[in-house]
Amino acid sequence: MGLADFGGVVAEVCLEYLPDIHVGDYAIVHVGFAISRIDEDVALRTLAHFRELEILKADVAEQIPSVDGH
Amino acid sequence: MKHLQEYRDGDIADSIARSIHESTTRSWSIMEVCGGQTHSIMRYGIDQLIPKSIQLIHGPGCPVCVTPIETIDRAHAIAQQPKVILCTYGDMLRVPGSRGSLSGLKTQGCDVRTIYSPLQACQIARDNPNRSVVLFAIGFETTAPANAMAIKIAKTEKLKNFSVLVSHVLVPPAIEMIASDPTCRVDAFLAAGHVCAVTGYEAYHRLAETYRIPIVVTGFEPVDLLEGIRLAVLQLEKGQAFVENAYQRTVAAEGNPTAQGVLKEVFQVTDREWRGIGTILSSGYTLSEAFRDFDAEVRFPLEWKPVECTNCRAGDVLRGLLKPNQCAEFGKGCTPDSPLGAPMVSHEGACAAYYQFSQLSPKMNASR
Ligand code: SF4
Repeated sequence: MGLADFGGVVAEVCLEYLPDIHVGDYAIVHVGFAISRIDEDVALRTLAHFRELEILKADVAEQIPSVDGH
Repeated sequence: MKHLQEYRDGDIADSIARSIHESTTRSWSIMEVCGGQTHSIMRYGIDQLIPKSIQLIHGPGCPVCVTPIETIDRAHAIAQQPKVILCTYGDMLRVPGSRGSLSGLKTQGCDVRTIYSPLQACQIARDNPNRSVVLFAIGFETTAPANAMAIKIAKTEKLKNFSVLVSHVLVPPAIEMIASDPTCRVDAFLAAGHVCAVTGYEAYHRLAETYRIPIVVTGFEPVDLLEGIRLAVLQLEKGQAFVENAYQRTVAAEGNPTAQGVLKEVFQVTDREWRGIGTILSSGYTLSEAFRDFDAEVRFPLEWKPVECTNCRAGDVLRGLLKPNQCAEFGKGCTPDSPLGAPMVSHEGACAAYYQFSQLSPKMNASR
């Protein structure tokens, strides 16, 4: 068992299914069990890829619904 | 949590949505299989960000919704037996069976307990050696490893007063049932990321090939969902059909081998009935031979005839044939406070998602 911080709420979590997990790692927890480690490098790479998408499309002036409502 | 905000970022969501608009030339229907994704879609108004020609069809991925009424009635009957403590997850308590819901039993003096982890059921069994503790184990491949571990612990510790009512279902056979239906309207699937985190996605290649249908492993944040939709649309527009992973930070192709090992030990695959849908071959788990002693169905052999509510159209909703707000009872005879069917109860149910969020416009801002 280990302790997991859910954005401020700390609870005991079973780590049996993630034998390689380390203190400070992020994980997906389901019904008290950590089932998958979140790969931070990949998370950052994906975000960088999205930003490229943003730059590429920045000058396409098309009217579409927007998340921000602008 | 770190980076979580970025996956809810309005600007990133905007640019992915814009890219979807640019790529889309035709009408497509995309099914998100998982009820958790349905809730995110409604909550963040994802359906309003994408082109009108893309229809999102909500799938059967709500474990509480597809648990057969027979099984709920059985849990009900077991909870009424002397000395029983029935343990289950929150949503399950309020789902209507033919004799009412499990939470109704509490007021009649039955000992029904809400747990958030199945290990709590083991602890309750240790603490109450003179009581019979029954874990009502439902869920998809995400919950199965946790329940399997609890059962393994019960066997190791020889917890004789512990048993389990298993109603586990598996996602790929449900996808296959939908994809193989000649009247299938689904052009692409978003596969549930957390299920794949456990099982991996090797099993999906055959489905994508056989039914010529794109399958994109997708996460739950708004940016994840939009990216899943974007990749599905790109495949559809190019006439391609393969398995793609849009949730790489969490899902590896092979899944979680440690969890798979325990699942294999504790469970074996069986045909399962899905409430409102019918029996799907090889679509669930039952206890394997080595763990049969812990089967609550054997310990409590009870008989009765279940009766479904005739006005509830949950089956059509779960198969993606009907949007929740097209059900005549929606918001009238059926609300989260007095639900007629399971999809109005569960936090993964499509009817509850529509009830909670359908009045809202896109609201990614609120979470920034
Ligand atoms: S709105 Fe209520 S009655 Fe209608 S399908 Fe959903 S759960 Fe059933």
